[in-house]
Amino acid sequence: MKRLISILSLLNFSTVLFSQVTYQRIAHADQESHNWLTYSGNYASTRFSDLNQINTTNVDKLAPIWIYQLKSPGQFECTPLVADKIMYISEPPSTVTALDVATGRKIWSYSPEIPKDVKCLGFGPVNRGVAILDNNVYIGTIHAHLICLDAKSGVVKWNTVVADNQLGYAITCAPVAIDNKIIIGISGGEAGIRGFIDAYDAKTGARSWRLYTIPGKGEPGNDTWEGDSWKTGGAPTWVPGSYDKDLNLLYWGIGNPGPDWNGDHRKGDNLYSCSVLAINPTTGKLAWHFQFTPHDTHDWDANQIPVLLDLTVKGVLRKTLATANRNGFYYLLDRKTGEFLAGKAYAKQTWANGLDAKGKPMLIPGKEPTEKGNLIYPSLQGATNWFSPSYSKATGLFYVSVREMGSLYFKKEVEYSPGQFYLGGGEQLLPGDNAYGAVKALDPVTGNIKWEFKIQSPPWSGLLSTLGGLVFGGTIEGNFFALDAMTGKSKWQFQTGGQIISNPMSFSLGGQQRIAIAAGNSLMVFGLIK
Amino acid sequence: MIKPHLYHFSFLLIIIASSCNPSNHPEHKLTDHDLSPIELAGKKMFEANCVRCHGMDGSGLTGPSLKRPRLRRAADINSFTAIVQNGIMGTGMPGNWSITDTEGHQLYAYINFIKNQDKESISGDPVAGKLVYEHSNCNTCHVMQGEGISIGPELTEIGASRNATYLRQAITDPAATLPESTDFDNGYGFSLYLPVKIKTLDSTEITGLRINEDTYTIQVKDAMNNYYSFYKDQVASIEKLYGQSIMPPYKTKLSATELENLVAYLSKSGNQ
Repeated sequence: MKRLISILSLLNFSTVLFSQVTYQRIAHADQESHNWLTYSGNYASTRFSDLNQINTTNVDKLAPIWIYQLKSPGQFECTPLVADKIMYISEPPSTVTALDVATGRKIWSYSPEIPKDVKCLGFGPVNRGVAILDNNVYIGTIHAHLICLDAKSGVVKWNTVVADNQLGYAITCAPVAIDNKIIIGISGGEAGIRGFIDAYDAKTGARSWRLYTIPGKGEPGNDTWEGDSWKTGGAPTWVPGSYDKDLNLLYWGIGNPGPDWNGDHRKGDNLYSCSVLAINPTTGKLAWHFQFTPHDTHDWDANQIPVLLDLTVKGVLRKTLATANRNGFYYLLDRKTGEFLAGKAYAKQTWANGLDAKGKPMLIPGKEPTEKGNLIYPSLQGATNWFSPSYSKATGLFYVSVREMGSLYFKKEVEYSPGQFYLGGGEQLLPGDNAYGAVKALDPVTGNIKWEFKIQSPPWSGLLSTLGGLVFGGTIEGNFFALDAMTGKSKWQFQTGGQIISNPMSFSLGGQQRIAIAAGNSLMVFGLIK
Repeated sequence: MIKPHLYHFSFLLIIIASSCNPSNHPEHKLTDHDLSPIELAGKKMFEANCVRCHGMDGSGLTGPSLKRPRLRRAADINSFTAIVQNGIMGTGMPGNWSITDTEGHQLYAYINFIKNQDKESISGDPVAGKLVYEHSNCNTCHVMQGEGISIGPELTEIGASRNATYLRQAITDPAATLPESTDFDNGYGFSLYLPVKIKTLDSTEITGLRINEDTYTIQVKDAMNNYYSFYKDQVASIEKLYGQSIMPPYKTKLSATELENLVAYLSKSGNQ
C-alpha cells in the first residue's frame, strides 16, 4: 500500500512537472509543434509551424472547427498560445481567458479592474497576447500593469505597476518569458513618454532591470537629442522582441521619436528611436544598436518583430537578424555585432535613394511633413506594421504583409503637456482606391522579391508559414487565406465576416492540425473536415 | 486653410478638369488667440482625432461638415460627448473610449466655435430647387423622401452629410466626387458607385456599380438595379472605370440659377 501511494504520488508529481511550461520547453518549442508556447511560436520569431497535416494538397478541405466570440466590444488582435490542451488568449482591453482547445469552451477568465479614465493615446484599447512560463500566465494591461496569473485558475499571483498610465504609458504588447524573467515593452509614444524595456522576476514581480530606450544625461547617445527633448522623446517598445539563448541576447524593435511629425525641436539622430537593440537580458545592458531611420518625422517606428535566422551570406554561415521595416526597407543584420549585411526596398517608398554601405538611408530632400501637407510613400502606418512576418525553413523565404499606400504628412507646432497627445502634425490618407496590399515573399539574404500576392486593401494581418507548404494571412475585408509558399498562388480562402487585425498560429490536438485566427469579434479555429 | 489644397490633390488623382475649384470660401486666418482655453484644448483634440474625415477646418471630407447650425445626432453637449465616446453604429464614426467627458466638452466648445467660421453661403431658393429636381428626372436614379429609383445614393438626408461645395460638384461633375465608403465592410475607404465592366467566361459583359469588393470577390448592380456577385477567378476580366460615373454631368444642362436652387434644395434635405 505504501508503495502504491508512493507510485501514485510520483505519477502525480510527474504530471505536475509535465504540465509546467518551463523555459527549456519554450527554448525548444520546435520539438513540440502541437503547442504554441510564445507569441511568435519560437524565440527566433519565425512564426513557422512544423505541422504539415494541412498542406497544399488538402487545404481546400479546411473549415471552422469552433469559434469563440468576444464578450465585450473591442478590436481583437491577439495571437493565442496553446500549451498542453489549453489555449490562452487576451481579449480587449486586458482580459485573459483560458479555453479548452478541443471545443473552445471556457475554462476561466480574468479581467483586471481598468480605471474609467484610463489613457490610450495614439492606439486603441487592445492587447496582442499573453506569455506563459512554468505554471503562470502573464499579461500587460492597458493601464500599464504587469499581472501574473495562475495558469490553472486565473487567480492573481502578483500585480506590478510598470508605469504611470496618467502620463500616457500603457501596455498592448505580449510579454516575452525567458529564464525566470518576464520582459515587457511599453506603449505611449504619441504622449511624450520616455520609452523603456523592463524585465521582472517571473516568481515575485520585482523589477530586475529597466533599459531606457532614450539615453539619459551623460549616457552615450543623449547628445543625439536637442536640449531636454530626450525627456519626452517617445521611443516606445510596444511589440514583442526575439531572443537568442546561445548568444544570450534579446532583440527588440524601438518606436519613433516624439513629437511624431515635427522634429524641429529634437534635432539630431534621436537614438535609440527607430532602431533595433540587442540587450543582455541577464544585466539589462545594451550590446549593440542599429538605427534604421535617424531623426524620423513620419512615425516609421522600428517595432516590427526581428526574425533571427542562420543564413549563408556570401558563402559564410552567419547568425543574422532579418526585419522588414515600417519605412519600406528590408534589412539583414549580423545579430552578434549589428553589422549591416544587406537591405532593399520591399514596397513603394519616395523618401530615400536607397541605403548606403552602412545601411543608412540616402535621403531625398524635401520629404519632411509640411504645414500644407507633403505626399510621401509609405503612409504613416508604414509599408508594414506590428503584425508579424514569417520565415519558412521549408522554402527559405521571408514573408511579409505589405501596405502599399502613401499619405500627406502635416507638421504643426506642439507643446508637451503631461498625459496629452504630443504629435506635432498628422496625416491625410490618399483615397482608398489609390492603395492596396500584398503578401510578399523575399529572399532573406538579398531582399529580392520572389513573388507577390496582391490583396484588395492594405492589410493588418500577420502571416504564418507551415511545413505543409502554406502561408496563412488575412484581409481587412475578412478573407482568411492560404497561399502556396513556393509560388504565392492562392489555395484556399474563407470569408470570416470580420476584419482580420491579428496574427495566425497553428497547433494540433490528437494529431489533428488546427489553424487559429482572430477575425472581427471571433477567434476562429480551422481544421480539415472529414 | 489646408482643405482647398487637399481637394485639388484628390482631384488630380482621379484626373478631372482643373477648372473645378470647389472652394468658394474667403481665406480666413484663424489663430489660436481667437480661442478660449477650452476651445483651444478642443482644437488640439480635433486636429489629432477628427480631421481625417471632417477636414482640417471642419467643413467635411468623407465625413459630414460640422459647420451647421445644428448637428443632427448631437444636438446638445451630452449627446455630442456620447457620440464622440461611443461612435455611431453603421457609419464611419468610430468610438473613442479614452476621451473623457471633460475632453468631450472641450471638443464640443471648439466645434461650436468653428461652425460659425467661414460659413458657406447658399444663395439659391430651395422651393425652386425642388422643381429643378423634379424636372431634371433625378428620381430615375435617386430616392428622395421614399420616391424614386435606388441606383445612386439616397438623397433624403443628403444635406446632413454633404456640404454645398460637394453637392455643387457632384451635380456638375459627378465623376470627380465619387463618395468614399466609410463602412468597415467595404475595406479601406474605396469609392462607392464606381462603374465596373465585367466580362464573364461565356463573354457576357455586365457594367454595374460596385457595391462591395474583397480580394476574392466583387458585387455589382447594373443600371436596371439587378444584383450580381462574382468570384474574381471565375470571370474573364474586370475593368474598373476610374474617373467615370454613370450619372451624366449637369454642368451644361442647368443654368447657374437652377444649379444654385438645386444645391439649396439638397442642402436643406435632412438639414432643417
